[in-house]
This record gives sequence, C-alpha cells and structure tokens, in this order.
Amino acid sequence: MSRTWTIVKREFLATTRTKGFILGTLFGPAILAAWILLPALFADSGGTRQVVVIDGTRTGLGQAVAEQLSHDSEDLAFSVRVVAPAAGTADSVRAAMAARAAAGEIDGYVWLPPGLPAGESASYEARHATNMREVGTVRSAVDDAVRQARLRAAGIDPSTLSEALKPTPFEAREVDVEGQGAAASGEAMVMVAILAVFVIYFVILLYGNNVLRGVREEKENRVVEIVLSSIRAEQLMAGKVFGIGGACLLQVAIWVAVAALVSAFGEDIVRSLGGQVPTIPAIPFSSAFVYVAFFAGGFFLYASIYAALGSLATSGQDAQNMQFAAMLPLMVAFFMAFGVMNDPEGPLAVAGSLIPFTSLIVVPLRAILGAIPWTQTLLAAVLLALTCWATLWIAGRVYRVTILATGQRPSLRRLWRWVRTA
Amino acid sequence: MSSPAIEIRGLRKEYGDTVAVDDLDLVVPRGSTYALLGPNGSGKTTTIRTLLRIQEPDAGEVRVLGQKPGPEVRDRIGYLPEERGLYPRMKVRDMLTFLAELKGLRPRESRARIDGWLERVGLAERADDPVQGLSKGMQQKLQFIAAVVHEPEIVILDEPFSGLDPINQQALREILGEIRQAERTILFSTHIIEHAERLCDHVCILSRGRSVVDGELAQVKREHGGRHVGLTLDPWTLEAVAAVRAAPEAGRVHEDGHAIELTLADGADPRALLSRLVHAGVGLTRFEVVEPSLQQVFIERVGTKPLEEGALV
Repeated sequence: MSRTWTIVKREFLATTRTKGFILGTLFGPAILAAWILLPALFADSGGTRQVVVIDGTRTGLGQAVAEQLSHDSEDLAFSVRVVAPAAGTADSVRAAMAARAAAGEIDGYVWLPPGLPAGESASYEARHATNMREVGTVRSAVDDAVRQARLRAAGIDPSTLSEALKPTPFEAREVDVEGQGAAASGEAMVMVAILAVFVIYFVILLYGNNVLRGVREEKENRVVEIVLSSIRAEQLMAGKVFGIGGACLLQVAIWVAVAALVSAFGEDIVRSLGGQVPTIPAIPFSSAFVYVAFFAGGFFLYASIYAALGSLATSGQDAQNMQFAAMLPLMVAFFMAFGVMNDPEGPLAVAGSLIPFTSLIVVPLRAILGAIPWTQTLLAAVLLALTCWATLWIAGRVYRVTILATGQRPSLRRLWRWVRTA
Repeated sequence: MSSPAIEIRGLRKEYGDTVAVDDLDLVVPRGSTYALLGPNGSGKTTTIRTLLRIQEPDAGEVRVLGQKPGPEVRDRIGYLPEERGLYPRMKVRDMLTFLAELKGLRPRESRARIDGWLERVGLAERADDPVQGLSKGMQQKLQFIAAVVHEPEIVILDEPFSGLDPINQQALREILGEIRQAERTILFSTHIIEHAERLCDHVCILSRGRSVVDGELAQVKREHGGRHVGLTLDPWTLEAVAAVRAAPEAGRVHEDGHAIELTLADGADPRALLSRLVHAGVGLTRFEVVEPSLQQVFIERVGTKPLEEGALV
C-alpha cells in the first residue's frame, strides 16, 4: 500500500503543479461567476427606445398602444409619440418615419392599419427588429390594446374580464421520495440538476483524458520500466487513478467553496449591478452524499478504463480513437439525463440507475430531484462498486501486459488471452 | 550453502510467433559479476525483465535470492533498464527521492545518500533542475544512481555503458568495481565484449534466446583454449597474410596490423601450421598457442560479431 501511496503522491503533485490545473481552478469559478453576472450586466443594455405609433385606425388605438408600451416594460423603456395621419397620407407618413429610423432619429415605428380591429396585420419597422425582447414587448402592447378595444366594442368592461381571468397562483414543487417534502421549486431543482450532471460529465472527461495522456507519456518515454521494477503494474495504475482523482476532487472542492462564498456574499454585488440572483435550492445532505459517492465511483470506473486504453495506445492517433471509445458510454449517460429529468421514475431512469456506466450520472440526478427510492440507490451503488472492482482488475491486467508492448496493437482475442494468463 | 543470487530454470518467453527466450537455464552465484552477452535480439533484455517480473514468462521458474520474485525481493534489487526514461518535468532530486521511495527508502533516509551520489557524479549543482534540462549522459547517471542508492544486494544493469563517453565509462567501471568489492552481485548485459572481459568473472552468451556458453570466465576460456594461435609477421607482406589465410590448418583469421589471431581448423595441429608457414617463407617473430579472448569465444559460438543486428528486443 505504501508504494501505491508514493505513486498517488507523485501523480497528485504532478497534476496540481501544472499551469493547466491552476488556470482551470481559477477559471472554473470565473465561468460560474460569469454565468451569474453576465446576464445581469447584459440585461441592462436595453436603453430607451424612441418609437412612433402611426395610428391608421384613427380610433384611439394608437394611444392605447402607447400606454401599454410605457407601463409594460420594466428594464426596456419606450418613449412613444402617436401620429394619426390624415386620410390618404398614411403611406407618405410611413415613408417619412422609415427615413427617420434609417437616419437614427427614432428607433422605429409601429403601423396600425385601418383594418386592424377586423384582423389586418400590424407591423413594427425598427432598427433593432431582431431584438426579440423589444419586438415581443411591442407585439404584446398592440395585442392587448386591440383585445381591449374589441371587448369594449362587445360591451364588456376589460377590467372586469381581466379580474375574472387573473391567473391562479401555481407552483410545481418536487416531493422527496422519502416523504420529507422538498421545498424548492421544480424549475430551480432542474437547473441545479443540470449543473450537477454537467460537472460530473465535464470533470470525468477532462481528468479521464489526463489519466490516458499520463499513461501514454509514461509508456512513450519509457519511465514505466524502471517504475515497474519496483512495484506491480496494478499498483502503478491504481496510484495514477487515485492521485489524479485526488487532484480532480481538490479542484471541484475549490469550485464548490468559491460557489458557496459567492452565494453567501455575492448576492448584494449582483443586485447592486442590477442583476438577478438565481435562487439556489437547498440540497438535502443525503442527496449530496449520493452525488459525491457516485461521482467518485464513476470517476474511478472511467479513469481505470482510460488508463487501460492509454496502455494499449501505440500512437497519438490511436490514443484519440481510444479516447472516443471511452467517451461513448459517458455521452450516452449524459444525454440519458435529459430523458430522466422528464420522467425521473420511468423505465429509462430505472435502467440508467442500474447500469453502472450510466448510474454515475442518472442516480445523482434522481437523488437531487428526490425521485429515487433508497433501495434502488443502494442496489445501484453495489453494482457500481462491483463493476469498479472488476474494471480495475481487468484494466490492471491489460495495463500490465500492454504497458511495455510497442509496435502493432494486439488484437482483442490475443489481448483476452494475455489478460487471462497474466 | 546459501542459494544463488539468481536462478532461472527452463525460462521461455514468446512475442507472437517469435520465441525471445527458449528453455533458458541460468545460475548467477552470490557476489559474482555476471555478464550476459549476445547480439541484439538474443533475449538479454527479455531475460532481465522476466526475472524482475516486469514481464511474465510463458514457462519456467525464476528464483531471486532463493525466493520467487515478489515485492520483498524487488527491494533488494537495483535495476538500470536499457531503454532509459525519467519523468521529464520532475526535478532531479525529487526524481531520485521518488524512485528510492519505491524501493522502500523514506525521503529523510535517502536525502543524504542522493546528495552524496549527485556530488560524486558531478550533478550536485543540477539537483533542483528539471530532468528534461539534462543531457542524455547526465540522465543515464541519474538512472544509475536510482539503481544503487538503496544499496541493493543485486544490481542489474542492461547495457550500462551505452550512451556514455569514455571518461564516464571509466567512472562507471570504477563504481562497479567498488560494488564488486562489497561482495554484492552484479548482472549486466552488454554487446561490447571489452567491457565484459574487463569486469566480469562469470559469463553467459545468448544466441537466439538460448544459452550457448555459461560459466566462470576462466573456465570458459580454458574450455575454448588450445585452439587459438597468436602470431606476429615480420616483415608484414600481403603474400605472408595470404599464406596464413590459405593454410588448411587455419580456420577463422583475425588480423590486427602485424599481429594475427586465428582459430585452428577442426583436428588441425598447431605444429603442422608452424612448419607450413616456415616452409612458405613467412617471416615470424611470434608464434604461440593462446587462450582465446572473449571476443573469439563469442564469434566461435554465436557465429557473428556482437554488434551485428539481430531480430527483436
């Protein structure tokens, strides 16, 4: 064990002392911070739109649209002027407004044609007609104004109707399978679950490749031979997987710590910048434990596969193909997560939980969503642990018989023969 | 009586369809300096790797210091592989500390020894430099330190002299002499016969994975003695050399300026050769039956010069 520990120490230090690790550790939280801050910063960039409403209906609809625009918008402000053109002059007024918009004097104009109440189409010609928020605000203002006009024409008071149609408050909340009752809203939970799943996927991919590259370098520069004269190949492989795994956990722990600090102290900063702070729902300790356990188990499962594949690779191109082969089941697990989110207790979710190559993502996801019975978690954990053990064993043997092999890669049949007799 | 340092019985190792080592028996006595000779591809490296359990044999038994080569025995062996390799970004001292720790030497125990060795081989000032900044020869010195820093009972060196300049080759020979005086066992492979002849007291010559000569150096020479003649021509003429080569008593002839060494043909009498040369008018200042050099034994048993290319590994 002490020799394995020597390898663990070396791999941990070799990984954490690289520029890549330091930059990754710094940029991870920076990306997280940007994820929260940037939308807040960009949200403020709307400014005040100078808009002219050309009311071709001459029924006061233009004024109604202007009123809707001035109180509909929150952070996107409109300064509206209403023009009611004399009969026969609408086209020339529109042309004049189009010219002013092109010259930058106004941001755009809304054309309300005479047949609007009867169903004719209104239009908005503007300098920022691709700005979905701006166009959406104008459309709903016109829509509301026309609807109210129609109601009044039918003898119905719009305020009475809007009171009657006031939406009933409704919120979707996840219920914990254990019956403890989760407090967070479903949407926020899904956001957290997506983030959590993405972290597992991304980190395993990143560090798995690290393991593969490390093994290949050791094989290429022949240092492996002197190391193997002192310890068994299985010890070297285990030391590598656990050493790099430790570096990976350290990085994730730093990210989590920074995220915790940001959520504790960063809220005021974000608000002061005018942004919105996402409400992060509290994750029960049991779910967090399941997350960490399956993350670690999954990491060791995939890292040992990457190590075995690295020992098989005989060239850079070969290593890239190997990398892709190892990525496939991980990608399946990642995409499976989206199906599982829609139906966290359905057959896909159950199957994904019991297959060890996907359970590392599916089980933590269901645990965060509070949609997995403890019996299934336990069964999945046992299956993952057994597969981990078997994979480490097989990978250790593959590693032993292939790490010194050069030249052509052995066929699968020959490899299997080697592994059995090693 | 204590068990031999290394004992190999019936060792066989194949790579695909190629047999690298074929039914090899080898006994390395404790305290001996044992040379493993053979052309490239004769199975030297494979033999060494299997006795260190870096590779598993297909058949046969290996015992090191009387035991199957397991974790405990590994700590008592130092190894310098033929294909050198170190972690390029590690610092020199850290690299040696790491390799010593893999041999069971704690960092606080190895520190003074490592510094002493670095001083001795002239690398003390580079102790905190990354390995990748060192020349190949310097890296080889580091690997040699790694092979001996834990003071192993057996030192196994695969082609230890390759890549070293003559000064460092001499320095290495001196260090090996010290290890030998300390009665520790040295097993080294080489295809430079001169090194083997100067250093070893036991020798095994491998050819195509099989042992063709094995035993004490003096005994091996005795067994191949009586069949080698050394002579010096005076005057040296092309005709005189041609007459030596044409003599039916002469087998292989090796010329070195005025001196010639030859192996007698099967059943040939050296006196008949002397008489033939005198009658042919060849001027001779020396004619003696000599012990063969290791080079001659090698050529005789392997059929090629040691540096000729072989098959694999």
